[in-house]
Amino acid sequence: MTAIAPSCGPVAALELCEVTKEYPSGCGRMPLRALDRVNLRVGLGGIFGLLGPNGSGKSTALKLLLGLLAPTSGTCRIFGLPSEVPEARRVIGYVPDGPAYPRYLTGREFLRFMARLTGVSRSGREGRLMEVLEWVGLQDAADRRIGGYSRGMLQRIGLAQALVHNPRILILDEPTAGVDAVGVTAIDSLLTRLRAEGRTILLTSHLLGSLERICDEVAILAQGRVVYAAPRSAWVSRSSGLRVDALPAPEQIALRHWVEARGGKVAAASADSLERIYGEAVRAAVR
Amino acid sequence: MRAFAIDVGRVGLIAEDTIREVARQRLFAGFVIGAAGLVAGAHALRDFNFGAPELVFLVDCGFGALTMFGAVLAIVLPAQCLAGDGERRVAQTILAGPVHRGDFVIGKYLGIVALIGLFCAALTMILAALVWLRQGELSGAAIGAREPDFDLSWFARHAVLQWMKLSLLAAVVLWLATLAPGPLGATVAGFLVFLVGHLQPVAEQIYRRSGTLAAESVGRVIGVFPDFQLFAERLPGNPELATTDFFRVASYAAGYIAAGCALAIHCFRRREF
Repeated sequence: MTAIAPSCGPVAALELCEVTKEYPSGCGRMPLRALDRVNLRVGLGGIFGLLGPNGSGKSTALKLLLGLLAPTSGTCRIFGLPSEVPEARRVIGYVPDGPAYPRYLTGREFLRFMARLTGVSRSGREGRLMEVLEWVGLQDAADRRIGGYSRGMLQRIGLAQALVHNPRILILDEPTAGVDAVGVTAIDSLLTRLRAEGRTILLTSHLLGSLERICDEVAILAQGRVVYAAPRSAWVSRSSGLRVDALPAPEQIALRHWVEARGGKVAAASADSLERIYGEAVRAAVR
Repeated sequence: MRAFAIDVGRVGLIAEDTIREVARQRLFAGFVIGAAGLVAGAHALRDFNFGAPELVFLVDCGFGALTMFGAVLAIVLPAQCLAGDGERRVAQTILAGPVHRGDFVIGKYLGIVALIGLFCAALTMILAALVWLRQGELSGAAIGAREPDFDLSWFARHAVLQWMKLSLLAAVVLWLATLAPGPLGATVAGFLVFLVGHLQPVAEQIYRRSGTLAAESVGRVIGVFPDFQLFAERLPGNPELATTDFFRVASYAAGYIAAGCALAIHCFRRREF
């Protein structure tokens, strides 16, 4: 029986409590510390973005939550259960970074395999496969071998396999990497829809604009530490201006006059404020 | 406590997937066709028999092909399916779900063992048919008097012994694959085990006879390796393995297989992805 250590607080959907992860460097050298006493709580429902530069420990944090890595110290929990317990992971759908799926299976066979593995009942299985294939727009490629899929299609089949068992939590490691702009928008709207259904989504991405639009909460990791964590209100309040794109300058001026004539005020656009917060936080951590 | 309990459904599913994975690989198809071709073509090579009776030569050639190609499969498949899946990160997606690592390892092993069993059965059937046909042709000729009488039960027993030997080898390579960072290391180590296992009785005797402490220690280490010579079936006409011997060899294989799988599960549970 796995011993259950005390939690950092009330039960969260996902939780890292004082987690340190070190990788051995070999030959008597100091181990590489990927995470340093990290505390992270992802509440129930909503989209949580985990940001950070390359090598900041984002993927390590996700793998610890999935039981793929063991923490050097601290505890990782899913709804209060230790993440190394397989039953605790039943509620999770996972899309790995750099998707690698069985090349010899067709998309449909892979989804069927994952559905059976995660306990989707036989009666509803085929219908569920069709549903998730439709969500990710892969109906036409469902019977092609995964070995022939493009990078964007691999990301989409990854999302489909993560959703096939109707999980309460989604953990997505760079789900938009290698996906074109239209694909990114489609994934964003899918995630927004899943949030509306009450699911908890934890994702990492380098597309700050996309994260800014869809996340309810973010945490920034730098050099293995959480250097910033805040809910959406923290950056939305900083971007209260109106950003107007693709409108000729005279019309923008006319718009400004129209707003001001009615007592309103148009501030300078600051839609990239999450980008600014991110830049400041990472620079401060490096200093 | 769920440490060593097995979820039969998931194990079966992973085994089924392993069979499908391997069966769709060109490498496997190439090996089956190559081995079957060598067995079926043994008749054409009978002039190179070095004085052995023709049927004995056919059987030697056929089971030689089975052992050679089968050993490559028993080494390459666990290395590919376990170390390869880890290296290609395919295992991550599966292990991130509600899957015990023990179930994953055992599922992979059972899939591999089932494929090796099918391989042994198919090749043995081809060989038995070939020998039966040739036996009929030779029965009236003078040369036929020198030929041993191969019956189906002999073929079946020999095929089962080879299957057990290859399953034992696969279990050892499975364990090695949980330690190796990639499939290449596990494959090389597997071939070394295969080689040492065939020379084990001779090497052990030589080392023990030399009398020095160092040589005796080496002999003891070599003694840990499985003795693959135990699985060689004697020809009909010579004193055959008694039934108890057959079960003794089966128990010997089962012991090594259980140890190999237990070590593989233990190491795989500690592995990080």
